[in-house]
Amino acid sequence: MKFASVKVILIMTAVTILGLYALDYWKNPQLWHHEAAAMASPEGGPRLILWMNHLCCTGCLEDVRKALAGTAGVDLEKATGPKELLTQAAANMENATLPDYGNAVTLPISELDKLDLVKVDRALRDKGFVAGRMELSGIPHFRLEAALDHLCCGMCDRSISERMGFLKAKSQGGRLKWIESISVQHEKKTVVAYARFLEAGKTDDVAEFLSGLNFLGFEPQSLRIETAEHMEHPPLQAPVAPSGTGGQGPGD
Amino acid sequence: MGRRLVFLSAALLTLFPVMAVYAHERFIRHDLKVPVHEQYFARQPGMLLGMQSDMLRIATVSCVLLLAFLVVFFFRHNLDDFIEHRLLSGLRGPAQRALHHLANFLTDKPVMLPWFKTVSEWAVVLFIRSPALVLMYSATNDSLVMPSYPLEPTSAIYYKYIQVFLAILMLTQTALPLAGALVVGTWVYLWRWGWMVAADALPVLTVAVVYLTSPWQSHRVAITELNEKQIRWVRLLLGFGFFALGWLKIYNYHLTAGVADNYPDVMNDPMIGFFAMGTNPLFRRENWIVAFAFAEVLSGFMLMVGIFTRVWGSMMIWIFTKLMLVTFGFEEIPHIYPIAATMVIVFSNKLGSEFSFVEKLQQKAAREGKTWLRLATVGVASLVIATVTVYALLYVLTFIDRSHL
Repeated sequence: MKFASVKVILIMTAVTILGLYALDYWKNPQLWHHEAAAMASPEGGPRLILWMNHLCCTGCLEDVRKALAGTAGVDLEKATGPKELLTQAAANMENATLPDYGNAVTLPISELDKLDLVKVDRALRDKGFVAGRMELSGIPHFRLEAALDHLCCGMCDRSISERMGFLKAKSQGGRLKWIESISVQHEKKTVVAYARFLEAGKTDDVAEFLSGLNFLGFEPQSLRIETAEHMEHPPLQAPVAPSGTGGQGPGD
Repeated sequence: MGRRLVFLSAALLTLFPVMAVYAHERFIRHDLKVPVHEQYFARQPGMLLGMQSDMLRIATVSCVLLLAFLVVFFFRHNLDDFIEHRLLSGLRGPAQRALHHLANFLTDKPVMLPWFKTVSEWAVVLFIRSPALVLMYSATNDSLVMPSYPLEPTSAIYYKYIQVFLAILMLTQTALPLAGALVVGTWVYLWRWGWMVAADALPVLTVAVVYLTSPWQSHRVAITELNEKQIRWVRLLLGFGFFALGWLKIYNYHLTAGVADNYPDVMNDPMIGFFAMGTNPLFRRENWIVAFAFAEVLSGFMLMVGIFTRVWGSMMIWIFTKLMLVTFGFEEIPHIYPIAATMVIVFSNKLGSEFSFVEKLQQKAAREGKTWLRLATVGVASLVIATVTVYALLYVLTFIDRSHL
């Protein structure tokens, strides 16, 4: 009987590993170039990167641009999309590959104080698109301020501060981890999410906060980005979800 | 073959950072519905070892239980002699033979019964082929190896075909060393999903060891028995997998609590209830997490080191079968594989122990008439093993904030 030698076993194993990773890299580029896309802009500066799970051809890109036309705070002229996007004609062909189905659009943020992320989201939805991720980069310190129409009582306040912490704790894929703490400002009907320090080249997916609020039953009227320089309310000491009683709300 | 196994295992171990496993939780729903008392798992200033009192209580129960099993195991030959030849020496005929076989089964000695050998052979056949069923199940569910690893639609078809190819090798027992390398390579690739999730698949390596040490002409031979070294590696890897799996239950307690939230019946297990006896009902779910974890840590540890392997293996087969057929249902069907692997160990007549040297020291002292040395050897060895196994890692875990995992 002939047995496999250690050398042969190691070679076969190495080939398997390399083969599987190569296949993954080849067929799933969207998973590998996620952070590279965020670093693509050499000049830096604040950017909003919209990852669209559906952005397969030049026709889609054109419609996305139309949807975002008139959005305050972003420089649509300098927006960059995928470089080798298929034309509509090419996308009609059956041999177009699925990895090209989703793509990102990078929007330089020209006026941070005018940018309303809810408006960006709604503008896309009104034209039949949904941004899978809304990634913010190039702003080391910031907080998100969500203005709510409804925030009537202490229970509303607590439900946000406590359950947002709960959401963060239960999420398995690292969602909402970028949030340092949550503060509910009852009088101003505002929920503030203080972000952790955002390293250069990294991104925070602010859509997670938006969908988190939706999950808790709240639809923000607006979602604005405030930078540390304008910060009126320092981050709270306690993290979002350290205890069973949740975060820090006025009712606590 | 020995050198090959040692080299291979060393190569594999270099790939392991902090190894941890949690197998069945990921096959089923585990969304947390009620917040956990986070402070329960954190350091408690002023408390002994900085642990929450209920957690410490469960750990102590586990430590005492492990200690008792170790002491009894190290005296197993003496106890066997005492029971068979003194206490029940009056037994004759079938009753005596039945007692003898039962004693051999419980004390990990060879059981020389025809049906036992038949089951043993069948278990090996099932063990070698059952991963193919898991692979096919995953392929039809658009996942890789197990449902914890969903495949991207863009590449799913390729990985599904690769799994089918591997399953064919397994089912037809063709080129098993190649199948082993593919299994190990795939397992390394699973780290792509993160270390905690990849660790789910650690038990897969158990069968890879058998494949890699099989002949190239494997399709020509009937593999119905594993040799002593293969059995040892199957025991070590499978036991380590469950040992680590138990610790991961405490490490990532949100996930374990999520399982309890979705399947509250799992909290009513009498064995786990034993571990959690006398604890504060206010922390019922937290206590259950720790008790469940320790039940797995102990069973995994004893399987790994070969202490009452058959007793603990039988309990694991029972628990896995119950989870698969009753508690969680069809989503747990991939556990046919660990059941088969455990059956191979339970029905093997080539079991050994990593702590056999303690037994030998004890027996040597007995031959020399040094009673106190016998007791001291077994007592000290058991105490050290039990204490380190239970408290060391638990103590370290209290320093790690896992509330945001």
